[in-house]
Amino acid sequence: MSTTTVAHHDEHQEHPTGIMRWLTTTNHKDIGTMYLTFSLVMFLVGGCMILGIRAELFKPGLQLMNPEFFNQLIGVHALIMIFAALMPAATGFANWMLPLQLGAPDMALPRLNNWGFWILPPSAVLLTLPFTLALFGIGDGALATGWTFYPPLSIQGGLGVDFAIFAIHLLGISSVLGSINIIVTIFNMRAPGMTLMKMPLFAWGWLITAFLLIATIPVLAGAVTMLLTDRHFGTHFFNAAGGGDPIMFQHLFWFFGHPEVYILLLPVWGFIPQILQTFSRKPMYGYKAQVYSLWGIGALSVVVWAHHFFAAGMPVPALLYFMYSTMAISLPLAVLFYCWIRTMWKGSMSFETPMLFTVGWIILFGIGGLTGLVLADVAADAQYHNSYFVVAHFHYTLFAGGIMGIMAGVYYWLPKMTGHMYNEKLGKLHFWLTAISFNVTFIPQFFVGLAGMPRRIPDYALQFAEFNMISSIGAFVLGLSQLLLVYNIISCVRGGQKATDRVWEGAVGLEWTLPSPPPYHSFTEQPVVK
Amino acid sequence: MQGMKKLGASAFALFYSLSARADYTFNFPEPVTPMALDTLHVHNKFMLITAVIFVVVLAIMIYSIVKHRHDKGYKPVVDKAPSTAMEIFWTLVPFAILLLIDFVIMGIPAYHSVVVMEDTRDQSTMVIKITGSQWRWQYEYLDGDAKGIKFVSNLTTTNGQMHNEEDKGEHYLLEVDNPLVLPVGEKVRILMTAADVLHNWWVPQFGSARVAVPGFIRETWVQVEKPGVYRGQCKELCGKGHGYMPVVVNAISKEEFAEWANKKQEEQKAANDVKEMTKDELLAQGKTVYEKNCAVCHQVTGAGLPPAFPALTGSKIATGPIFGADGKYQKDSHLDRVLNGKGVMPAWKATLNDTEIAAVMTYERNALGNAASVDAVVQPAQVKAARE
Amino acid sequence: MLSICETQCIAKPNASASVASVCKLLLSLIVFSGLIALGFMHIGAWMVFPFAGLELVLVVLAFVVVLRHRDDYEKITLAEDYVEIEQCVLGKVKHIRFQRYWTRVTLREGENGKTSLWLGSHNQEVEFGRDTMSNAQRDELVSHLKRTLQKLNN
Repeated sequence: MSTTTVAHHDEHQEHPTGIMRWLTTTNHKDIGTMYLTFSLVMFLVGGCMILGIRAELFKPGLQLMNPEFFNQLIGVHALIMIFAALMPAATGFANWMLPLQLGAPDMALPRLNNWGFWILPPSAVLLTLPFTLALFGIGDGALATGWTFYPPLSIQGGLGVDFAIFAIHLLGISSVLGSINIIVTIFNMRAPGMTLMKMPLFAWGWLITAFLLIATIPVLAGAVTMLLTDRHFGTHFFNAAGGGDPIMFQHLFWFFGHPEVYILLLPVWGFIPQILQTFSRKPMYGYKAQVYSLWGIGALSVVVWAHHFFAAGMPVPALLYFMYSTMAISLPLAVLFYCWIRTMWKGSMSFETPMLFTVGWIILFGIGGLTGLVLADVAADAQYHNSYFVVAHFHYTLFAGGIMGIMAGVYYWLPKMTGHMYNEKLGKLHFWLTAISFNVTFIPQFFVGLAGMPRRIPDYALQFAEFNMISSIGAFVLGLSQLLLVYNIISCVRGGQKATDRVWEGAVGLEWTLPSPPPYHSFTEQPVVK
Repeated sequence: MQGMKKLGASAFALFYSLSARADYTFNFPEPVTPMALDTLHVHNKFMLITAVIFVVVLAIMIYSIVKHRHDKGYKPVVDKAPSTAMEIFWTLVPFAILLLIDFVIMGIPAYHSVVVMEDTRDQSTMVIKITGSQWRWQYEYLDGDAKGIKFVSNLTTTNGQMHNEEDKGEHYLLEVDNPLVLPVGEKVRILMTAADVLHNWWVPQFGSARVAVPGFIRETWVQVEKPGVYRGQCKELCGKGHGYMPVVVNAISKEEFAEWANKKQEEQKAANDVKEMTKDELLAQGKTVYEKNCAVCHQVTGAGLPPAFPALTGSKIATGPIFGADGKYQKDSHLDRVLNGKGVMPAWKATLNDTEIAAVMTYERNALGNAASVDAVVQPAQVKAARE
Repeated sequence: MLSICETQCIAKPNASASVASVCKLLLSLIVFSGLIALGFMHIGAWMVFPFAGLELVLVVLAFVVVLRHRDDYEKITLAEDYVEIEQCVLGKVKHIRFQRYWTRVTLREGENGKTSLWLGSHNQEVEFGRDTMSNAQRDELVSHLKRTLQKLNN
């Protein structure tokens, strides 16, 4: 868009500096950097919460905290990790990379982009503020219902629930603004010649994510608002005594919540094949098949929500429908796995940190996917449901499948973003520590889950003690090894060996044709996609 | 090097000590109902299938990682842009394999399991009702020998054990005062509901779990085939006591069950008889009732956990007058609150009998640092009258 | 989008979406979200509806804003004795002419690390390609303009 300004000479010399620069910036790279930084900080905050929990669960008995505080930590941990760590990280990459990959000078709606980010920090504060307020005797702490807000427990809850509801609203607004911007950018800002089917897969992943967000965020917003009116304004949406139904909330919540899983994963599925082709020095296999699979998963994700609460009871035909449709998700996923491995096959692979994370990601996410297939079975789900088996399963999909994928992206693009190479040795060490301690943490949880340990309990029977102890040790190693990531990123930002434009020998895509770091606004010559 | 050795030795010692007393189980506990047995079979079969998929795929990846390496000078195959037909064929292979696994190999047994699990009525010989409330289970037998028996099942693990002040017992957190008693071999239909928030009644060895939804009835069934004591827990987050509402089921033979039912019915009849009691008797019984039911929130000392759970010591409700001039209890009086509840405070009229309510109220009004000047002693007869 | 010829340079926003394709997209979004909202309304959760409506309005607005500017352009023509800058915003065309000999091309530090490109003479100045070009494109355009002007002026 062009603006006409006829002005006298000296009027345009003053520009915001310092904090104001970041508050007002509309530059996609600035905003991308802010998203990624925010995500890293919240990842550490959420991590500290879970380390508190693992410390409490190190051995039977109540050592460090009372059950109320325990319940607050688990819920806020989940909300922070999902909404404030994983989603902003994916949005950060979108801001940084989409304009570069599509050949655009910036995002389509830069001002909106700025608002979208600056809504996030206040909502994170809202989410955690009740912890602090409780110290001053106001309220009884944060949301203690788990991240799922199930009524009637959430109707019973205190101040923390209201804060969390407002935080969810803000986070939802932020996601919707981000999604709108991404959809408009992808549709309208592509360089001449770049048709939709020539777009990088990352853009496809994000486009579908943005559609899912647009479709599901209003449902979540509606659900938590109804909760709010039930709590304070005497409505009875979820109260049986007033003609409502508590299970309706679960339908609403998971109608958002299940697509949310793919919202977290689709961007990762977008850039993982790009990393694979770079380090296999071989073009990705089955681009079209992958695009169609991503669409397939996106479409299936909105019709399988009720498998999250088989145990709440529903008619047999509904059970069967949700079971089979859930199993069907494995079909497009199998195609994706096939394409990933086929891209590696007979390539010329080298294993720099991003590739290590990617290969580890495929294997561990595979475990998450396969256990998910087993969980779809209604009869066995009666046993798995709300046990530690489920906890282990979704950490394989969301930590291994989400966060480790994001880490692969961080190491892949860090040299491009900062202009410096990170420390390869530390990166590799970070990978091995993360991969091993992750398994030490979560494999035992599969077993305690099968043996009968429910999730979200502050204390447990003696027969679960050994596995819990191993799991806690793993969690602490996992947590501490993330400090390597932080150190590596900080030292890479501050300096280090200069990165070349291409950075990786086999890198393919428009972003690698620009200098590292790319100039503030990106393309010298209009790139033409052949 | 020395350091490494030491580290190795201590790691070994740690794992040795763990395994020496360890209770590692890698699968479901021994199934004792047809449903649990079926679940175990389905689970084992699915795990085997997924393990095979995982191992095959991993093997292919590892082969590729070992062979197709840049540092070994492996030259990437220049994919002659695969013809679309070939690409479609190859990508449809994994699709077809999973189609077969999902809907035939796994889908068919899963279908049968679902149908069996949901059929609660066919051949069931007994119906019980389970009500979840914060944080205890209530059981009620609706027909047969035990018709009318009704009791509450509370955790008996002591506070000292939870706070590591005493040694933990064998069944730490999985022990109750009144276990549910079921006859072996009978198909028992279970009606499930809740008084306040969602709960989930789960015994891993039974393979059945169902969410208890307040205001709705959900159904499931169990048919225990082996006598014994089986333990489980609530598995739907239900507040601060979520970890402290275990399920214990005592499965006994039919004959023993009939005997137990008889005895229990008589006990219950005796307990429901309302008789005049002395203050000391009321105080003694009240203390037990209080510590079992009320102390979770209001604390053993009566100090409560404000603001969520108000203190009873010095409370206006617990010391103020109960009965009005007409002899009826007043709204928002102590008796009203105990019988009918309010907000987080549960209604106790369905859970406790007249004597228990009278006793616990007398205890609250005279102990816990309170000394009520009016209505200091509440008699069971007054509670009985209040219910009508 | 920037295209540079010897005596004519045009800067336009990227506009890869046609109005028809955007309409199709919006229609499908509205139908899909509408169905979801109606479905939940049917089971009593009517509060989804206002949120979905509000959000769809935002989506439509965003596309309207972007599409309205799809035909905008800015053009620099280097003519015999003048430099003409033609700016078209929402169909309104504006011409500004400077004496070629006196025309200055300046590149300044703008906000958020963006540079800004100004053309002017005497005490009048006009910014060119504020949101349609990247810094690198501005660098390129500046050097092209300076080179060409110098050549023409000599």
